Amino acid sequence: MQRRGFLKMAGLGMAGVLTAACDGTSHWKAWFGQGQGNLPMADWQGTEAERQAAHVLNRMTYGPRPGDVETLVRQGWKDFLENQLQPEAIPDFQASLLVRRISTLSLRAPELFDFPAEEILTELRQATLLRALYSERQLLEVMVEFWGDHFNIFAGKGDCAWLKVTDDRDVLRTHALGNFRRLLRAVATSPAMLVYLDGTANVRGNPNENYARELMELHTLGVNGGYSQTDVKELARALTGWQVANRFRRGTVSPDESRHDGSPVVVLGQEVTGTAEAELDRVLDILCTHPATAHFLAFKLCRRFVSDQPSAALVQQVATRFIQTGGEIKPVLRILFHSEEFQSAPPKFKRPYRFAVSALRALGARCDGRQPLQEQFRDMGQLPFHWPTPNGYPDVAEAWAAHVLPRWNFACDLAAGRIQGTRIETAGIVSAGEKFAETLLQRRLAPHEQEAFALVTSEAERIALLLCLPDFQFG
Amino acid sequence: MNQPIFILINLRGGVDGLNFLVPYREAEYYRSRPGLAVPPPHAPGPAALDLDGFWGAHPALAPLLRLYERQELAFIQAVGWPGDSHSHFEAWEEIESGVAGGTIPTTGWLARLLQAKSATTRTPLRGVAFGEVLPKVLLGTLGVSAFRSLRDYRLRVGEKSGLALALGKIYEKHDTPFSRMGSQTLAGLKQVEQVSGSLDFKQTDYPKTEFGERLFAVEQLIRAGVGLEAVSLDLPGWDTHFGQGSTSGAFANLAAELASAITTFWNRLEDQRDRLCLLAMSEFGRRVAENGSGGTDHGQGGVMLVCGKGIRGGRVYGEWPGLAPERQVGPGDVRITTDYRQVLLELAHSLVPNGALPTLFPGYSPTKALGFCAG
Repeated sequence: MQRRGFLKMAGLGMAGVLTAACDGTSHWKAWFGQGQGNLPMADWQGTEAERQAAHVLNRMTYGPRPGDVETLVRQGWKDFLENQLQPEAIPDFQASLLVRRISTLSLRAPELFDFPAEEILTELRQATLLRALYSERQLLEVMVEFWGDHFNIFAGKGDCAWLKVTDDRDVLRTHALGNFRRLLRAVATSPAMLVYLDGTANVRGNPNENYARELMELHTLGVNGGYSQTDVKELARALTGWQVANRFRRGTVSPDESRHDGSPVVVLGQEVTGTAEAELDRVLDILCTHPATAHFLAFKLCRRFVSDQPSAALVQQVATRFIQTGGEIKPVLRILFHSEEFQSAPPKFKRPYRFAVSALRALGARCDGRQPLQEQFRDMGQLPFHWPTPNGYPDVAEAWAAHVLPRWNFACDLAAGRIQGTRIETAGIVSAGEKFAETLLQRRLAPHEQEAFALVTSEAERIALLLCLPDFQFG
Repeated sequence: MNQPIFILINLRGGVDGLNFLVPYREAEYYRSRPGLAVPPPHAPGPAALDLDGFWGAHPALAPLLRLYERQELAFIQAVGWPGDSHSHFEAWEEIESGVAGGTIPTTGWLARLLQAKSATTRTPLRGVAFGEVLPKVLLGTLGVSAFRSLRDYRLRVGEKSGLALALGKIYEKHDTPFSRMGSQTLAGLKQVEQVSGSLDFKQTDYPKTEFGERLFAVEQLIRAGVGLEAVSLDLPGWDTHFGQGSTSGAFANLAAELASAITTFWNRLEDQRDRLCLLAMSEFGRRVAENGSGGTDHGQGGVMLVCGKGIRGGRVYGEWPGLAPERQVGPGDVRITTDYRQVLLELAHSLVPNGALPTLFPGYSPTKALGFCAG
C-alpha cells in the first residue's frame, strides 16, 4: 500500500473544521440538528467524486480502509450499492475465515448452554467486531447493527446471553436485507426477545404487557402511532402462550395452546382470535400494514443514514416505498441512498462504535476482536448487546457528544499499542510529519493545528491526536 | 461561594410506589396483591415500617427512617408524570425536558435552571451526570460533563506527554458545542486530578455497587470544591414485570441499595448538609394489582423521596386518591394528584431563593404548594 493511497482512504477530511458559531440554549439543535446543513466543505482538496465516495463509505460501510475511496471512484457508488444489496454474491474470504474459527457461533440453542455465558458473549462480540472490520459485506453488517438497535436485546437479562447468539444469526442476519414483516415474525418468536421482554411470562389469565407494549411503541407503530392503552392490553392477550423451553431443548420456542388466550380481542379496531400462531400472524399483519409503522421505520432509517433530523419529505418518500413494497428492505434502502438529501447530507456525529471501528479500518489495524478491544467499547459506552433498555443505543449526536474522553483514551491506547490483540503499523504511517496530517485531512493544517502537532513528539501520539480531531468524530 | 447542590437520582424503570410506600390501611391494596403486598406494621416477620399511621415504608428502606425521624427526609405520593402512554422512554423524555405533552424543548429543565443561575459559568464540573450519555435533563447549558466513574476520568498518556496541551489548542480554537465539550473535558481533567485519591471506596459503608460508587464520587467532588451544582445519576432496574418479590427479592434489593447509599452519603457529608438537596424520582408508578408473573405492569401515580436541610421532612406529602376500583384510572393505576412539575418547581425555588426563574416547565400552571420546602 502506498502511503498516499493509505492517507487518502481515511476520509478524515469530511467534516472540515467546525466553525459554526452559535450560543444560548438553542445551540444543540442549531448545530447538531437542521442547522448543520452548511458545514464548511470549502477546504476539501479532493475531487467531487472522491468527496462523494468518502461520504458513501462513511454511511454504507464502517468507514473507508486504505484504498477504498479510489476503488469506489472507479466503480461508481451506484454499482457499489447494488453489490452491497446482494451480500451473498460478494466473496468474503477474510471475514469468513476469521469468523469460522469461533466455535460457539454455529451452535444451536440447547448446545450453547454447555458454555459459560461470558465466553458465549465474548465470542459473539468478537464475531460482530471482526465482521464490521473485515467483511466485504459492509451494508449487511451496518443493517444488522441497525436492527440490533431497533430490536434491542440486553444480553444481561435471564438466558439472553446464550439466546442472543441465535437471535443474531437466525433472526437479524437472516432478515436484515429481506422483508420487514418476516423479520418481525422472526423477532416475535426469537427466544431472546421472548425472554428479554417477558413474552414467556405472558400467559392466559395472567397477561404480561411488556412485549406487547414495546412491539407497538418501539418495533412498529412508534409511541405516537395511534394505539391506545386498551390496544396494549388486548395485544398482550393475543400474544399469550409462546414458551421458551428451559429444560429439554432449552432455548427453543414453541406455542403452548394451553397457555394461549384464544378468545377474541380487538387490536387497533380489528378482531383477532384463534391459535397462538394464527393470532400472532394476524396482529403482525395489522401492525406491519399500518401507515404509522412505515413512517416510523422510515424515520429511523433516515435518522441513521442521513441526519439526526431528516426532513419530513424524505421520511414520507421512504415510507411510501415501504408501503408500496410491503416492507421490502432493499428497495427502501435504494430510494433512501439515491435521494438528494442523502447525497448532500452533512457529516453525522459518529457513535462510539462507529468512531472506533472506522479508526481501526482507516489505520488498517490487525485485531483479534477479543476482550481487551471489547473493554474499550465498554468504556466508550457502546459495547454491543449491552444497552439495558429496549429502545437501543441512541442515534443522535447530543446523546454522545459529552462523552469524549473515552474516545481520546481509545486513540491513545490504540496508537501506543496498548490494546492487546490489536496492532497498527505506525512506522508505515508516520514519516512525513505535517505532510502526513495534511494528506489525511485533505486540507492544509490551520496554524493552530500546526502548533498542536508540534506539541506532541512521539509517532504514536501524533496518530492519537489525529483520531482525536473534531473532524474524525463526524462522518 | 458555597452554592447549593442538587442531586437528582433517576430510579429508572418505574418504581412500584405502592410497595415503596405502603398504604397499609387500604384493604384494596391487600386484595389486589395477594402475592406481593408488604405486610402491615407489626405483622410477624418482615413488615412495613410505620410512618404516620397510614403509610408504611418498605422494610428495606429502614436506614432512611433515621433521616425521616430527624425531619430531613420526606416522601411524596400519588405524584407523577400526567401522560398516559405508560412508555418509559416518552415519560423520561418529557420529564427531563420539563413538559407533559405538547412541544418538547431541546433542553432539559435542570440545564435551564443552571442557565438561569448563571449563564456564563464555565466551570466544567458544574453539572455532572454519571453514565455513557449525557441525560436530557442536563442538556443545553455550559459546564456539564458525563462520565462513568471518577477513577477513569483521566487521559491515558505519560507524564511528559504534550497531548493534553495539543488537544487544548485544537478544541479551544473554535466555539462550537462539540469543541466546547472538548475544552470542558480538558478543564475537568485538571480539576479531577486534584480530587483526593486517599479516600478508599472499599472502606466506606456505601453499597459496593455502581450506584454506591457513583454516590461516593459525588461526595468526593463535593469535598474537592470543584463548583458542583447539579448531579444526575441513575439507579435502574425497577421495571419489575416479573418476579418483583415482596419483602425480599428484586425490588427489596434495589430499595435496600437506594436506602443504604443515600444514608451513607448523608451521614458522611454532615458538614456539608446545609448545601445539599437530594431528590429520587421515577417515571411512573405501577399497576395497583399484581400481574400473573409475580410482578406489576406500568402504572401512573408513584412516589418521590426528597431529602435536605431545607426540607420539612418527617411527613408524607400529597393528596391520597385512594385505591378503591372506582378511584383508579386507566388500566388500573393510582390516580396522580400531584404533577411531577409541582415538586420540581418548589425545589427549584428553594435552590434559587432570590432569583427569577425562567420557564422551567413550559405550559405548566402551578397549583397549591405542597410546602415541603422550608422557603
